[in-house]
Amino acid sequence: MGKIQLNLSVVNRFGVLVRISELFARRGFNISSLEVHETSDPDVSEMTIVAYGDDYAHTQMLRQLGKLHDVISIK
Amino acid sequence: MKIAGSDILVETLIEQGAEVVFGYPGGQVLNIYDSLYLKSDRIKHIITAHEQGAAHAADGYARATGKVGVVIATSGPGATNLVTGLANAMLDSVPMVAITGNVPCNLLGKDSFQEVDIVGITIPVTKHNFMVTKTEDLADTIRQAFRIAKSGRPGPVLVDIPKDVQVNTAEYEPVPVVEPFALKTASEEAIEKAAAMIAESKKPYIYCGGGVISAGAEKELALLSEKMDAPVGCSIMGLTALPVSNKRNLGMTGMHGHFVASKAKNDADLVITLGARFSNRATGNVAKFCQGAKMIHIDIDAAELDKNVTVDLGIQGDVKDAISRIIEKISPAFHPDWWKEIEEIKKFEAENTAAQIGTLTPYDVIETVNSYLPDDTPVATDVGQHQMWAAQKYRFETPRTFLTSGGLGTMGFGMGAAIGGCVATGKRTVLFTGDGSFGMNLNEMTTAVSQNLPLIVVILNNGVLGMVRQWQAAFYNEHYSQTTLERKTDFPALARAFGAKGFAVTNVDELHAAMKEAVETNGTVLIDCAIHMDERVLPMIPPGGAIENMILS
Repeated sequence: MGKIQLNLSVVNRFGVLVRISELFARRGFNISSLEVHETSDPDVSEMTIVAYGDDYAHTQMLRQLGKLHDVISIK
Repeated sequence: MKIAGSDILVETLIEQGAEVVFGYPGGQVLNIYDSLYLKSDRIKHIITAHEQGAAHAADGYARATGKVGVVIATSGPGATNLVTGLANAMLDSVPMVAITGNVPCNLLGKDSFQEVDIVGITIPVTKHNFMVTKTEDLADTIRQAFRIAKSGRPGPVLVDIPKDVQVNTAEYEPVPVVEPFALKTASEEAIEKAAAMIAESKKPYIYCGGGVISAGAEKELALLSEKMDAPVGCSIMGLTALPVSNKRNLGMTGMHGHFVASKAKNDADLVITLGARFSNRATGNVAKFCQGAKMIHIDIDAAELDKNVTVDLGIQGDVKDAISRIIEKISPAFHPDWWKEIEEIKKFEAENTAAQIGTLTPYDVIETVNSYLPDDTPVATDVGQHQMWAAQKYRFETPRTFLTSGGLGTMGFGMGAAIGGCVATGKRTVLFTGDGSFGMNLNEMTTAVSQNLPLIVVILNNGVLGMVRQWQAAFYNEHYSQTTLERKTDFPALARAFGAKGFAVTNVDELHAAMKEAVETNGTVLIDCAIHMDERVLPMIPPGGAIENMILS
């Protein structure tokens, strides 16, 4: 199975990491690595997630993450 | 002027259009209940017997009206008792706002009395949730909760409010009701492609889900099916979008749907799915699902496209807008040969479906009760065989009149939902339930009676957990493990103990007599209908099966 890298801008608020990692767990997607750090904007954090999955999983990850209100943008 | 957080909360609820809220008081929401007491002339609170009942009532209220249902519970067990109600609303895309109290901020994370991380617990069963830690943020958070709940694909939102946030003061200025986020609309290219596919089709089929009702696209659906001359089959959530009396309505599809509705979908050369998510109960074996058809799927939620079923044309966008634009692009079509085929299937279904067996059959119950009630009657159900019989047989003519737990399949949903629907519409409401489901939340009879609700509770009583029994009979060698209840409950006497009227009926004549009295009664009535324990829900597509596996007798 291939690896997928997702770069997210998220709201910098407690619980956001749980919300995002829970989505991966709930949908059955395995995370290979996850890194999160603050940015120069105190309201925004950046997240880099590498996860296992095929094209189907990739599309689902993008679309399901896109529904979370704490996710500002996905690259 | 600065006012207390609890007053800000209640003012914001009123400001956002909440006329009725359901809930249950407790230690960490005492301030909220004090504010509700002082403002009771502007907002009505209905206390239930249990927070789960309150959550289902808020859900039923929302389903019946399309408005956001509101429920309030205290911290800890009050909050956890909402979880089933939230999951139920989440899976059926019902707009709800749940307010929970919590311990003061300085006691959070200390395992304080009645402290629970309800935000953490409800992440997977809410569209979004919040914990408010500053009173200044409270009003805007509540507004945001309403906005998220009713925008796009609706859903439940929970707001957790620690007690000190309710006590502290902040400035409050009323604002107008928040508008939903702007809806995404289908691209012109997608609409043109869909219109071209429709023009080529000789055997079109429209598959209607709950999204059509959420979008308020019932009229557009009827126009589309007329212009395409296409049959319409519904998921359980899509029932009521098209009147049963509409000749193009084939009824429910799926595991226990009408054979004709599922078979025509299977035989179609084009299936247009509107606001549905292809649940496994609706599709059966997805590999064999509508193999010969081109598929168009229109949904407001992009994540539903190609999630369970891969389609030829997936369109993200407001269903109402998309249908209207497709209608403009297509010419009227006539498919007499296709309809002849469908009529043949209908005939086959009528001739080959096994008859029900008892003196008072389940269909007798649904049809007799139906005959006494006007078309706009809210009809709630619990979950199980009675739910399927109601979905198959009740003649729904008005949108939003079917309050049923489609996705989560929550036994115990019915009493709360019926109360919510009855309160929301002010109309006499009927609940079809089973002796198993009713047992789960029958405590809410207290709520119906104390509110003097014109509610008719119809129990299809077979003395067994009928749906599980049916599976045990078909797939588990008739090992009736824990499904033969042998309870001695006297339901009419129980109804009287709650302060309601109660009748027991064993044949159609007795049911007529009971219904005549029920519709004349200004209050809650229970009718205990004795049905045979071996009645089955037919047709049935076995789990993971396809149309050719459908059991008719």
